[in-house]
Amino acid sequence: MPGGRVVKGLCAASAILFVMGDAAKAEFVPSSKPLSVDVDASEQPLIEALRLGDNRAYEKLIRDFGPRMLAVARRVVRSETEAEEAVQDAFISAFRAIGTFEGGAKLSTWLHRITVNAALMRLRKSGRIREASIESLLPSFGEDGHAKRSPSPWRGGNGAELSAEETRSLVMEGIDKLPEAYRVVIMMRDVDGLSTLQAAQLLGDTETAVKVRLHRARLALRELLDPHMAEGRL
Amino acid sequence: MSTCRDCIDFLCDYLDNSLPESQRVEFESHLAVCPCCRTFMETYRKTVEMTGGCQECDKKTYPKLPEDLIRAILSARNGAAKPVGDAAGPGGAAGQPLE
Repeated sequence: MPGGRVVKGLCAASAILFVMGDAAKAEFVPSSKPLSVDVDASEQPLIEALRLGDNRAYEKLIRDFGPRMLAVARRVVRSETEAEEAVQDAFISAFRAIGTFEGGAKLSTWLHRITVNAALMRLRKSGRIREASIESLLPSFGEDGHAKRSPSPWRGGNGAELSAEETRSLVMEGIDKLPEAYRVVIMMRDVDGLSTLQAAQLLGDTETAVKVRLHRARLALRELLDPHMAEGRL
Repeated sequence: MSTCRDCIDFLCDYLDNSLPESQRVEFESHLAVCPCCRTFMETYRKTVEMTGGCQECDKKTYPKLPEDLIRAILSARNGAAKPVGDAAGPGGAAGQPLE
């Protein structure tokens, strides 16, 4: 066991559950049914080798896809240790299911979905996902329904004035301030680019609930970015 | 949709092009007379754009997977190469050796 890292058995995969919402008790099974239809034919030899149990193929899978999976897991859980554990959970889960993977989606898409599930399970175990209040970051209105204060226009920001890295830092700093339930949704939808349906399936929630939470997360993030982006503030 | 509150409630659907036609017309009528909501919508749209750019930025700097983690994952797989009763859950490679 190199470096004292815990080596899990495949049994651990069966412990990966959907989190949040009514489907929280359902067992997660990496589905062979794709969430999207993007298929990469160049992956077929690797998939075949995996099905045949080729050790080198398994190592290639880990080395090729692991870094991206770790980045995805880090965006969901904030601890490096938990992110690495989530990646390990995800690979174990994927290994179990590779025999039933139909190749109807890209491996990266399939692994992405499994990783988000594994990371969400880690969050659930930590008890950090809950509907904390976000009200103080939402726009406020008078009794007549009109905005209490006028928003300031934002400067260019995403191009000439801020580098991509500066923009990323600003956005991530803001997202990190959101309550977990909102942070997870905005990460899945707006950073990772999942559809509302995909996010709802992963979270075991309805599309409507995901849309509402996403909208509120965006409103809150807008409020957090405003002091940095409003014209004349910097 | 005569107030800013109504307008902001429908912002997400409007930008997703999922607002029904009648509500879209109402939304745009409000925007036409409300500079506050126009500015708000632009900053909301910018928020979504900036957030969407983060993954591209991350792609340039994917973290390196620690070598001991790679070994641990491979060990987990090899350790379970023979059929394990409890691992034969639904949807998995039930009872099928991985090697």
